[in-house]
Amino acid sequence: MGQPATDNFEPKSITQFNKDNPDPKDNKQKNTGKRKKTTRMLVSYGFLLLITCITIIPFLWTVSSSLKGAGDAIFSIPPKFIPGDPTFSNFVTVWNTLPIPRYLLNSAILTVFGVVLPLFLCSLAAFPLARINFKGRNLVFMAIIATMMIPNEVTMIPVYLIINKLGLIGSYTGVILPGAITAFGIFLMRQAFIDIPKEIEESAVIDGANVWQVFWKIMFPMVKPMLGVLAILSFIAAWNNFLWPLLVLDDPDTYPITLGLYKLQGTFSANTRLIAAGAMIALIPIIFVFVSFQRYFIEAAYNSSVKG
Amino acid sequence: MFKARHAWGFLSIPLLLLIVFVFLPSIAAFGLSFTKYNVFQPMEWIGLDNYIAALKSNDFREAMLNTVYYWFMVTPALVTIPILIAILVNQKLRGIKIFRLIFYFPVLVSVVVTALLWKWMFAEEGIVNYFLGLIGIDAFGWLTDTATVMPALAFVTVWQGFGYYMLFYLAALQGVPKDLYEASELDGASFWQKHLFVTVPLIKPMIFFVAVISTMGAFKEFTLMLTMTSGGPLGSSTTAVLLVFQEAFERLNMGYASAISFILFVIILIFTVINQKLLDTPNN
Amino acid sequence: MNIFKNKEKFILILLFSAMLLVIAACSDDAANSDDTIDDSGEDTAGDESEGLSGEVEFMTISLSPTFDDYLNNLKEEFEAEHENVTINLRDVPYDQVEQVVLTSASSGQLPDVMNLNTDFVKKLAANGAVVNMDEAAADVKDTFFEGLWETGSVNGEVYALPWYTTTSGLLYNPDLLEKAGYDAPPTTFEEAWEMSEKIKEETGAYGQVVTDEMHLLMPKNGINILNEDNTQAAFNTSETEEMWKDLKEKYDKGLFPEDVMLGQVKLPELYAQEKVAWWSTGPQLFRQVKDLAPKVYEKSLGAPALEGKAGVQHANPMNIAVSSNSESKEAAVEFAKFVTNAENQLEFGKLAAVLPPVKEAVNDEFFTKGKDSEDATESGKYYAAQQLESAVNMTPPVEAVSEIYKVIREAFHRVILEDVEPAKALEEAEAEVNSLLE
Repeated sequence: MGQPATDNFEPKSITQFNKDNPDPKDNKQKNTGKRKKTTRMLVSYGFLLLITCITIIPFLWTVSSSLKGAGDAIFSIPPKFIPGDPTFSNFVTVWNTLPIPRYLLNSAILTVFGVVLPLFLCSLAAFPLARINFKGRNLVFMAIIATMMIPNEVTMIPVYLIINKLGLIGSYTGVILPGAITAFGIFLMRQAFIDIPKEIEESAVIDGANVWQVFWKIMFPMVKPMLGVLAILSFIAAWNNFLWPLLVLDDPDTYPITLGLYKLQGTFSANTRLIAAGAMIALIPIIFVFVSFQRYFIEAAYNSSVKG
Repeated sequence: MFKARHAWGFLSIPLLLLIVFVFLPSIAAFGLSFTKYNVFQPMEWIGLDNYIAALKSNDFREAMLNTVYYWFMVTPALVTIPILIAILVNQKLRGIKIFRLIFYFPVLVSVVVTALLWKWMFAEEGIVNYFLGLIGIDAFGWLTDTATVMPALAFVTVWQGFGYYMLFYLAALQGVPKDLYEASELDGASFWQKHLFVTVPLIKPMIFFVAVISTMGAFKEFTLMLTMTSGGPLGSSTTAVLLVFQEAFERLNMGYASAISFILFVIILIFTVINQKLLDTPNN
Repeated sequence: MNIFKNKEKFILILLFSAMLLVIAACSDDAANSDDTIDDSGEDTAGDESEGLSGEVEFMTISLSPTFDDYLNNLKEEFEAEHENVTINLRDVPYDQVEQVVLTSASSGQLPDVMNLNTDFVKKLAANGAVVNMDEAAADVKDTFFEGLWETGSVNGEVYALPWYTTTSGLLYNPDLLEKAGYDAPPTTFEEAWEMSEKIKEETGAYGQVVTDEMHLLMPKNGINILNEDNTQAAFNTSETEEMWKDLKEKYDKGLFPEDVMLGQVKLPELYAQEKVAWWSTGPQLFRQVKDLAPKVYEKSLGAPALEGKAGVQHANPMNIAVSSNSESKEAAVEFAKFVTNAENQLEFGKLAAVLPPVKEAVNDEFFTKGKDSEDATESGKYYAAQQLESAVNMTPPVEAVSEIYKVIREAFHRVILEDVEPAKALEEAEAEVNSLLE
């Protein structure tokens, strides 16, 4: 890692290319281009559908299992995805046995902090690591990367002891703080900041912007696509996290949804239909978030990619 | 242009949190690796004994080999396949948003459901064998044969991971200007050639990033093995971190588990350096 | 990648010394918390005469929310009886019990009363983490079946009270038996294997199978895992060799599948697909088949468990243990006894269709009425209760049980999957187990 590898590589090559870009196209080329485009579209859809077949299985299986009544077998050969006797009773049972709205609310609170804090704090740390030359930068960055190579299983108990020393056992702060900043997030955001051309920074400084303004007003909006990615990943991590809340929280009323759903796997019965229904309930908010964040790192970038 | 004090200003709060919740625990875990500690009794300093025991242990060597084998199957696939898929879903096509979501499903599904589902897929009386049976191939115990269990688990990992890495590449592709494509299209370059020569070099930093992250991910994987095979049959799917988990939480050898982790640490470090040497631009 | 640049070397040294400091601090902590353990022990001992007091955390495994009412009742009743005691309930998912117990123990906050499985009790007991019940609960010892009281024993002392337990029954599929020409289920392992061959031939389904519990199959057939004083492996005998050879032949004939043997596929799943003719398990689990395939469950019947050469059945109770550094140890022990007394065990047995390891409770009409029931769970309950008197827990009373079991299982797997000679596999396993016992 050491020096930011791409400091002077990418921006230059992009600008060079742009200068050489010839623009006129005659009609002939347009026509063959069009035909080419249709075949390419068909081929693309072919691939898209093929991959869909592979990735949609878990979703189909979860949906179908959650809708199967007691008369339908879950693990049958050949697989049966369409319930013979579709019913919402599994959802009703889950809803009635567990305080789902409360769990969802708890999850929402934990997740909001679990997304906002890493977005801000990781960017804060990544900015100087990517854009400022200072003594010790490599050491700090290396140390951060190095911690990613240590399995969480061995640092879990030390972190727990620290949370305990700080008196945070049983509190949401104790759940949120250890994940408020992650080495992974810093690494990712540093990667994004490095890609920004130096000229943008320079012209901002000439216009009289101070270092904070350069970061907050200029750089931060420019890394939006990567912030979108980090937001989605942090969201999923925070939403699906259950071991840490289990260790830290002592009141079941404060449990997030994933931890609450573990209650469906009792000692004497693990009803797959209920587990599937529970999984669906937990999945819907994630899908919603994915769809809304997708806009940030795809469409927003589409519009801004006309730069240069 | 900016000064060191600016840098430290930005870093102050993040570093404070990192020190408390990341560096100190890591250092403590490192310290633990020189002790005998089972949580219930006071620690006992035993120097390098844990390391010596680990290096002598057959279980550890096997787990390490399994891990490298797993990495070898998983990381190259996760670095390359998602690029192709990201390019595929980065086109302006009708309904492309839905496809992106669907490709991402495997990442969203919980561990419990993944394990349930894939155990059933790979069971001897399972779905994979059912379809193979239709084309005349005999049933096979994918997860019960020492030769196929790791490839099967690697397959699940790639299945689950490509959507994850697709996201990074998608974000990186947004930085590739559209007119670049058009330039090469005029030269008669095909769709994939265009991407190979234009896009891939431009997203190289992201390829490096994915290689590093997926290498670390592969070396630290254990939940999949824990939930699907418990490391069997005959330990053939026991990865290094699964061994760490078992030593720490099932056999109460916290010190030994830490020592294994730090040997693993050194190995991941070596692989990361190799990644960098292979993928970094020469003008560094 | 220049981490080891000269100018940065000194920072590394700094980090290293910081690490040493942390270690020093940690070991201080450990020593300190040790002191507090001793203190609190004396304190509570002194309070004894003034009645019980304090907060007691009761950790259960995957019982919430199904048994929330029952557990809350226990809490309220006990609190009513002892007004200075507060019971805090905490339910933990089965898969995460070890992590929860160990992390809370690391900070000196082990739950006061814990629901633990047998293997884990032995781990904790061997490390002095739980209270000796031979001493603390001597007064109630006689209310339990003797074979079950011993469940929590390590090195000659008992460290846990047996809570709810299970013995085996048999759930069988009369259709499959009929197709193979049988009208009754097997009663012994020998008979079961004989029938298996015919069933496989006629229906393609399995009959008797080998599960991942080789360590139980051996004692059921009169093979001891350890010697009498539990210092050495005792299973490397000609009988074991014979048994393994025999099973290998059966495997080669395709009489049992390897995925069940490896624990990869759970038997109820095969049973629900009518791929296996019977399932020996505790009757409280029969209903899993009902969840998977209700139609198959409806035609199924219950029968007594299969008997091995030893004629002894294994019972595997859940256990209740008390943390030895609990700040309200007296109250915790009292609560543990309360949870496991005849009345409360019987009530729980009724709710969960499990068996109480308490002599008085098991004679209740609830467990005897199901004899001729059509419902497999009901009749299974009757048969299982009948076995309790003679059932024993076959887990060896040593710390490393789970490791020993693993060695035995894998040795057997090598015989089956890798064609290793039984004699060789046994010899290696014996050596490994002996080194674990050192």
